[in-house]
Amino acid sequence: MYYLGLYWEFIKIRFKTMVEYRTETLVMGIGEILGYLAKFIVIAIMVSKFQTMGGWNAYEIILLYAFNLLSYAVSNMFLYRTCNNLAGQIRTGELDSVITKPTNPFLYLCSSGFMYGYWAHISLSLFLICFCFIKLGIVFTASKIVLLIFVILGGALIQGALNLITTVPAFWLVKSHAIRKIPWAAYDFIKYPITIYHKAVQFLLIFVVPYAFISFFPLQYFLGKNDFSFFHPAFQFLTPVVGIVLFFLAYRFWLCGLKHYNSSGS
Amino acid sequence: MGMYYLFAKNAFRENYIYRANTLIYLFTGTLSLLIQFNIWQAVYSTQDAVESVNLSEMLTYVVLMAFISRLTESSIGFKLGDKIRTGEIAGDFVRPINLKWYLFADQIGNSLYGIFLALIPAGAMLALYRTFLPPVDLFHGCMFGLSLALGILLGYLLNYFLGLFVFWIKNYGYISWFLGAFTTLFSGGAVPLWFYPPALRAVANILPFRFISFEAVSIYLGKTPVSDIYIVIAGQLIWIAVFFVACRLVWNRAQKVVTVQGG
Repeated sequence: MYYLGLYWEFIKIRFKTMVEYRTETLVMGIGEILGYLAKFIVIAIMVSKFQTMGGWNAYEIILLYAFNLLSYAVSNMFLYRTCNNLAGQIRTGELDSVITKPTNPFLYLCSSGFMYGYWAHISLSLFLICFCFIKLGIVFTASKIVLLIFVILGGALIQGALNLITTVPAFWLVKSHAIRKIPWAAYDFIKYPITIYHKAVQFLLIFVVPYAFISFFPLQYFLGKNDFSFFHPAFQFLTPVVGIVLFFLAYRFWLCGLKHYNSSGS
Repeated sequence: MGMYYLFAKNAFRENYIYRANTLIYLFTGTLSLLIQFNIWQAVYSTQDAVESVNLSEMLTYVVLMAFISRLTESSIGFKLGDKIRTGEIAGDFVRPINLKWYLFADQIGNSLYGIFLALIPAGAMLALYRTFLPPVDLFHGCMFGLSLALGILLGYLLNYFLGLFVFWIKNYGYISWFLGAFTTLFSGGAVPLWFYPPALRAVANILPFRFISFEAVSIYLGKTPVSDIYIVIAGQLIWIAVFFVACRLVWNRAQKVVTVQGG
């Protein structure tokens, strides 16, 4: 923790790569923006044709997805490589060089593996959030903006925590890649209001894989909804708390895995 | 022909090795169907039929699409791109097999395994919801089969055609995002084109994507008038011919520009 400036330097190096490969970054980003935009449009077409999905209109459904995408991108900027490359780094013994450095290994991995490519997801989801808020006549006040920032950071921590938790088994198991697809599959549920699912599924999305806190509950506040089904209204403000607690646990689990790391020696 | 059959069989068998993948595939396949069933039920909860499509028809559509997408989605472009990027393509230039048909055979093997896996989640959903409509009659059933076969071929050709551009662009990642965007928006795979606003429907009509799977399912459910079925089949044949010729042209041109990297 003493060397925050150092980690910032690592991220700055990554930004220099981005500038170096600007054409690639731009073309790839435009491709990704179009890819996600198509998904948003298709959902909007469906919901506007039927006018409502479980009491949510097209703009509100788009907001659900945009909140997800934004927090997903913020989390993955730091964690995509940290999580995705871990199994490989363990197998090749590359992790040795990380843990022998006089830095915090987790922060080192997050900053040196920083992914600037997520600028595309972030710009698209920010644009859509502003667009839908304006269309729905929601006025941006200072307190709403501050809460929005906390909600997005909290959501990013929730997504990051699940990403991390499913990565850690790689320290014990040689092949654990398949486990990592589980949060990704659950992720599709929260593109839509969770109240359209069976109560058991809702329960899972709140208490087991708490994705409902990423967008469904905070949006209750922003949209002035009262769609809590059998949950407590206080849930709408809990996102940052859930995020911090979950991420702390995930980080402890990661450290626990690191302790069990035996170099493959190659 | 026999050789290509072996390629397909090998591709099918390779999937056995990745047992964890198979399990995850089953799990995610079931979740994805469950989500789609729930969202359509949610939007249909306030009305019985939209554009004269009712919920049973829509759920049948979802299940059929889950199967068909296993057949029409392919990694042909990705594999071709990889061959070009790594320089492996140099070997394929001299081999006495047709690279295109090899890739198609390989993809069919993988897709059949995908179909096999898609049966289990679909079975689970059908046991839960008990709603799956047969084709409206035998004629529509047969035309569905024909249209589907043409759609699969068209999907493969389109994928292969775009994969060839890696000779110039060097990275299939770019192409795949752009292709994905167009497919999502204009294929009718996620939301049927019946529900599209006229302007977007008009754009979808002039593009080839709807011929890959949407039109086949539309025939199955009897949503395409009989006289239009022949137009759909003709449209598919025309697009297949167009891509066939285009692939030939691009391939010939690519052989002149190819630079094999590494080795």
